[in-house]
Amino acid sequence: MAQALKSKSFVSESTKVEINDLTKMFGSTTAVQNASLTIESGEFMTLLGPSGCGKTTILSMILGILQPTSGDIIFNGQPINQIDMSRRDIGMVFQNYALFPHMTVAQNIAFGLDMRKINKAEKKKRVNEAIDMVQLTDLGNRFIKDLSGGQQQRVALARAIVIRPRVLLLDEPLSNLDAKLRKEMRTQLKKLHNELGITTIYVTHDQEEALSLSTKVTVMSNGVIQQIGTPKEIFGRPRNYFVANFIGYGNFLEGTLVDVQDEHFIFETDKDLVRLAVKQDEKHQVGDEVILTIKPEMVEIITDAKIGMNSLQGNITVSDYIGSATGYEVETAGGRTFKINVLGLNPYALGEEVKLYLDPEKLLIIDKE
Amino acid sequence: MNQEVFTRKRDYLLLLPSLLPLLLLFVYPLLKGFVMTFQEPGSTAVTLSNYIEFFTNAKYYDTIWRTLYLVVPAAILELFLAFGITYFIRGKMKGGGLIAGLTIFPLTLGSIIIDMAVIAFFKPTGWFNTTMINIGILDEPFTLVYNYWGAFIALIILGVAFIASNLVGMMDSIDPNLEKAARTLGASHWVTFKRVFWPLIRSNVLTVFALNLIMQIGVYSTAVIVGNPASETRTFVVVAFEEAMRNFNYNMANTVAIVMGVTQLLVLAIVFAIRKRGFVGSASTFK
Repeated sequence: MAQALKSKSFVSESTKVEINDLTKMFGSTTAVQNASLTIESGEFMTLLGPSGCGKTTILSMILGILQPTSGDIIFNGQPINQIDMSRRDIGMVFQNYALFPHMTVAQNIAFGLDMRKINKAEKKKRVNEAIDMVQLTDLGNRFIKDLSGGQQQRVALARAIVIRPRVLLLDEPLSNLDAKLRKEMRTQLKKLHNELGITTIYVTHDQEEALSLSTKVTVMSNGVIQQIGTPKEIFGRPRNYFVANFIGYGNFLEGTLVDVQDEHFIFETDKDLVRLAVKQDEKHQVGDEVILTIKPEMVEIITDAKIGMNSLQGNITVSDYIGSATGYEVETAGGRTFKINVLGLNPYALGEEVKLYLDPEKLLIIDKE
Repeated sequence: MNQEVFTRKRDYLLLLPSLLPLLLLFVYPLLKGFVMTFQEPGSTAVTLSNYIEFFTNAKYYDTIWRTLYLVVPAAILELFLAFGITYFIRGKMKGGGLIAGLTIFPLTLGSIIIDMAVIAFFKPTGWFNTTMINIGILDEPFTLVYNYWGAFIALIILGVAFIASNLVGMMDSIDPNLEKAARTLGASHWVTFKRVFWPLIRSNVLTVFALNLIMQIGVYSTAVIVGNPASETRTFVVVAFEEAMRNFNYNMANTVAIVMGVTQLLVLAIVFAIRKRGFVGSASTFK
């Protein structure tokens, strides 16, 4: 399949995108601050962050809707800041698809080819291939209003890809689909990227989408890039509190690393001097002020074995059964609340006293900033 | 089932209080007026003499030409001006609201005040001619009031205001992303306008144009106050008013009114026929 598609007409020359020290100010507010990132040719890069973090602003600058205040955007070594947006050869899928309502599916897809003055026979061939690729065969003569949301989304994708873009940009393309369709489209998108190998920049606030689709993820907050890495790196080793919190860590403890014992740091919280052992890493040393975090599904509820270091006593205050798992909140004697996810339904009642075990191997040390 | 249908039918009676005044105040006079066009004054015999008189006497049939000659060019120019202004200020342009406000403001004044303002501004001793003579562009005052041009200017001011007031919202109803999409696909500004923006706003623009045109075909006060109602701006309503109020020939007045109505319907039909040739659906597809 991949081989067959490669021989077809969608594969464009690969493009490496570099963003150097990019800044965008709106009046006195900074939307993007000194952002630098490199997207290797063929990579699937996701810009991940909450709304207002500047990810769409970066996308708009690559697209050419906005001019950067300073900094450069470079395609294959060639700065594109001064190139008009109509000459950048970027395929863009808008959040609301922005399909032309007065044109049929085929006319929508052909629009970019018309602009490139492609001859009729070639145009027809490429449009038909694109329609087949997004599985809209036989719908070419429909008008956009007669399509479902998912079909519209695929037309938008086909319209962007058919021009053989140097870079494909997607601005939260799945956010308007229902949960089931979203998952389906995610798989399709992934397949398509594997087959075509177009350098892709994807903007989303959904960490699951980001981790599932990307070869690389850039996490942003308040216009600043927080961390760049593979999905594994981001999920396994979030750099700071923001990244950890955003991709689903819970249970944050502020404190200081006070000692080393058997290749473990001894961590002590600032307020109530809770002492925990945590696996030593290279980045930190005794005396560092850090945050300790552990995913809710990594916290164990134990009976009486393994008592000692890293176990805490508390009462269950919230029990939230969602079918595949149960979420508990446990309040410890010191007044801390821990979030715990347990697979299936575990028979702990509200108010029941339990012991928590925080495995030193599973606790993660992150920076405050 | 039957019960339900019966109830529904009876519910239409609730419309009666609002329909009754309409029937009495609009439909009855309309029909009565229509019947009167087929009668001589003071007689009830059916005759075509009023229409024969209208279409054989230049005093009457000239009004068709004179009205259209005044109103159609004005309406077309109004459309261009209003479209230009509102297209320019669409989106988030700074000061756009102010420009829109100033453009639409004449609507609040109404026809007569605009007419008086045009006279004050463009009369031989008005600001316009005084300025032109002072800076040496004109040697003697240019006659811009009490003739065709006076009425033309007054129509333009109100027509632009009316069309612009409608276009402002329509411009914003077209998703800016559509234009961005066209641009990223390689279209220039002009091609984006021609292939995306214009096709989407076209049907609305033509509707407003037609509405404005038929409103202006009924022009009266402007034609009388700032125009020359004896010749150049002798429009339908001027003649109808004259027949009714000076000659007390209600039958002829009604005939003029009916011809005017038919003219308006024809104009409407022409514009809508043009409108139907393009895309008339909604400019949004998003679900």
